[in-house]
Amino acid sequence: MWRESSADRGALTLPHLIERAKSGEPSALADLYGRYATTLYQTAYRITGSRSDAEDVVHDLFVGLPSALKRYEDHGQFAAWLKRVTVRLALVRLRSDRRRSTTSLDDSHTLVSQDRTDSRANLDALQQKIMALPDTLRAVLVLSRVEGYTHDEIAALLNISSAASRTRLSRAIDMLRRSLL
Amino acid sequence: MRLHFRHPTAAELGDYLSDSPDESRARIAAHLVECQRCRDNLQFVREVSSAASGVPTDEPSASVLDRVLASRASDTRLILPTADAAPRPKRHWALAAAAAILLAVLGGAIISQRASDVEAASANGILNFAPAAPRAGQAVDVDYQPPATLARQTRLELRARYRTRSNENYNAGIPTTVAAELKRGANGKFNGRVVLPDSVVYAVFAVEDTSATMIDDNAGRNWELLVSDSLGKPLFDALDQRANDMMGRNWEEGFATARRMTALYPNELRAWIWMKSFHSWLGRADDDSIRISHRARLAAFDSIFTSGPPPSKDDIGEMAWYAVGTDSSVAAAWRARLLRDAPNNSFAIQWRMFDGLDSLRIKKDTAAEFRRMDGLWASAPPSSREQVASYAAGLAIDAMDTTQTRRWTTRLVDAQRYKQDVRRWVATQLSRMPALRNDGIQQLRDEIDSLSTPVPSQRGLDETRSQQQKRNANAKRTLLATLGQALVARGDYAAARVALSEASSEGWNTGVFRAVQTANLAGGDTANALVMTARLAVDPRSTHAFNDSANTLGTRVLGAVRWKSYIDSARVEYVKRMLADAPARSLTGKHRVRNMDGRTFDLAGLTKGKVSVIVFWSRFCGPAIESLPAINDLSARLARSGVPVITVIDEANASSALSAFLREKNVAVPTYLDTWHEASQAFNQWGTPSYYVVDGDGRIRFNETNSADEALARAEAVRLAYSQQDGAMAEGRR
Repeated sequence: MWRESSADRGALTLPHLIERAKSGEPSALADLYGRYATTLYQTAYRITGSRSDAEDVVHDLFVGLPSALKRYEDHGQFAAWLKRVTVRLALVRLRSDRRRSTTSLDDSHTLVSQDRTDSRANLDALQQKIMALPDTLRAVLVLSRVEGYTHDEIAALLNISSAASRTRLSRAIDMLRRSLL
Repeated sequence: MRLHFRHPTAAELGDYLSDSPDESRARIAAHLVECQRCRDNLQFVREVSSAASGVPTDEPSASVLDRVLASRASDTRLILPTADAAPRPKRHWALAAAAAILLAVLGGAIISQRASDVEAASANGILNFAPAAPRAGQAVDVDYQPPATLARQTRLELRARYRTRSNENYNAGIPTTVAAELKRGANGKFNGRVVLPDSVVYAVFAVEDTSATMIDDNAGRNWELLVSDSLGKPLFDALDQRANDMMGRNWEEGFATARRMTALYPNELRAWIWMKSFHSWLGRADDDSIRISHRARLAAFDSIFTSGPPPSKDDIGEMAWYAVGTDSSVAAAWRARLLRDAPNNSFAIQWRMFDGLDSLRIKKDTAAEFRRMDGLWASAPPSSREQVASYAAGLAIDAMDTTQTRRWTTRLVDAQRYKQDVRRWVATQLSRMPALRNDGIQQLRDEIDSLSTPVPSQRGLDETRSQQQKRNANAKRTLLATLGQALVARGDYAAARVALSEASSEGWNTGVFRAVQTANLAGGDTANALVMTARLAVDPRSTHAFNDSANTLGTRVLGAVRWKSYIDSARVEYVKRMLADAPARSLTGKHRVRNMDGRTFDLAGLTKGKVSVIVFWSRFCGPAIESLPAINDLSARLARSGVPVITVIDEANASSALSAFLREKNVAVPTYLDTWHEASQAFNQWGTPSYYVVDGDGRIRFNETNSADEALARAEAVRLAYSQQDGAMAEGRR
């Protein structure tokens, strides 16, 4: 059995764990998975808007991690690095699946608009609309407003200009506002 | 004196909330003190940020880690995108001599395709109906003066899409039929007679030859009949169905229909719902005058229904819907009344459906949610059942609950059996679930079989028979790719190889290539997987990150030289397959446009000698407005390849309102005005946004598309064809 006891895992420092994961050691991978998978899955879900895509992103990330770690230089920013790779994987997946990007303003016709006096319903409606935004807009919204990336960073991730990142964020928010009317 | 300061954008307000040091921060703070609207906007940005952070997410299912370890154990290796995409290097398209010789033949043949090879009619005939405003079930005489392309026929067919009062918006699944045979008379005109079925309120027509190879669809406008009353006024249901028919066809005509409904039938609540929807889609719901007018109209209806005879259940539903976003207290009252008095009305079903999401999120009790959906399904009117089944099926698939997935996908298909895309979606989903995979495979095979024989009633009014066959072949290849993946997952490699080989045999569909690549990798066929990887890598829509990892993988597995030969072959395939579906037609007539300064240009002169993209759009069309960022992106991307993007707007003259709109939307692409409607006539264009690719010889290539991404792929293919041809010719001279 490759699984170790939790006491053993707890004893490992992160740099040590990374070193072991580099060689593809299953227990080290499983340990890193236990530490980071949930957060990374949530990030991927917000970007892709799909649970199965988010799970695939996490799967791909951990399958490819040992090789990627060989090029990784640890400057104490492992979690941020891991998140960035996850974001890139999620964005690759978005680009590779154009089907979801067809959601449009039309949805305001078929989806229910909630009564504005009910704040819980409002929040639900808003969250539904966020997840129904076109992928390119939702990605920028999530990267900027949830993950805290700057527009320059988003521009680099998406290979667009910083101005385009800002435009997309504004457009996402405008669309949400209109769709909730 | 106060300095004027434009209102900050939502992005600037986002930066402001992030506390990022920025020179505009102080100005925004000062502005916020004075501007209630921007304070409201800031609050909304804050709410969106908080809502986005709080989007309910669960944890990855327990099987993901097992999948990871299993993939590792089976030696699956993936290259992760660890670096940001570098700016795309300028590519050198020089080809090896052998490829150049091949291209000299291939590229030359493609580029020099004759302009007469056009399939769709580029000129329109004149068609008249008598009476032009028929009553239900009435016989209508048809008189048709054909264009030159159809003039030599002795017999033509008038095909129709008939709409009854209960048809939905968009045209998917509404059958077409031969409405009349038209016979040529001595004067060269064609005549025939249509007898409208009693239930039809609105009909759309096109004329074609008997082999369905040439179609006159009046440049996309079609001809139409609106069933009318004895005074010639179109019935309300006729206008309602016209608006439904225009969804996805022509936004401005849809909006015009809504305006006509409110003018002719001001007491029909549904007319005002249409208007409110269009105002919302066009982003004009915030305009004070519009908001006030809807509020007044709502108050008038409220008063009629309160003091007059009791409203019907449909009235209650429509009132509740119209009031949302118009007046919150009136909305709350009508919604309560709807749920109490008409809980099975379609609007009530929608509300009830989504009202339960709260408890699902909090309690995470999917079993209770499915019981609730069962109740809704039982009480929902047939027209609402697809919505209930669609939601529940999605939930079941997400929850990977095989029993519920089987139950709800069966109901979904039953509710919308005539919609092919619903059946295909269900088959695809089932094929991805291990426990239902065999069902999914069977359904995929049924769907693939059904595509072998084109169904006449499923041919679009603007679609020739060969175009329908081509569309079916494309759909078949997509399904074959899905089938191949499912067969690989089942371990049925021999059958999978057959399906995948057919899936990727023709056409250029990156979704198919990706599916074939995945299935080949899973089946251990690395060589064929890399052929697909190379195709994806040369497609201009692929990301730099993908290209980087593809190149790393290809070079590692094949070595640099062989991988380059894969890429070169993929590029040849790209041009060949893309341009196989790109008939050329010349621009007809005059095509003068004006720029924003009022100067007149010839559109052909603006593009002459260069592969170009012409985009028609309108500031009165929701999808066209929505596509503006995509148009800007397209222009920026194609600028690197030297392909200009020009936009043409259907407005006669520049105006301050138009200039303000262009500024507000950051339109960064040269804009011209179709002052004399010559450009839209020359392109045979109707409906926005529409993208056309003009080749280096000034001819239109491909039919129009409404996708900027597709326009990018097409323009790059045409540009590359010229570049390859030049390269091949240079090679030949050496």
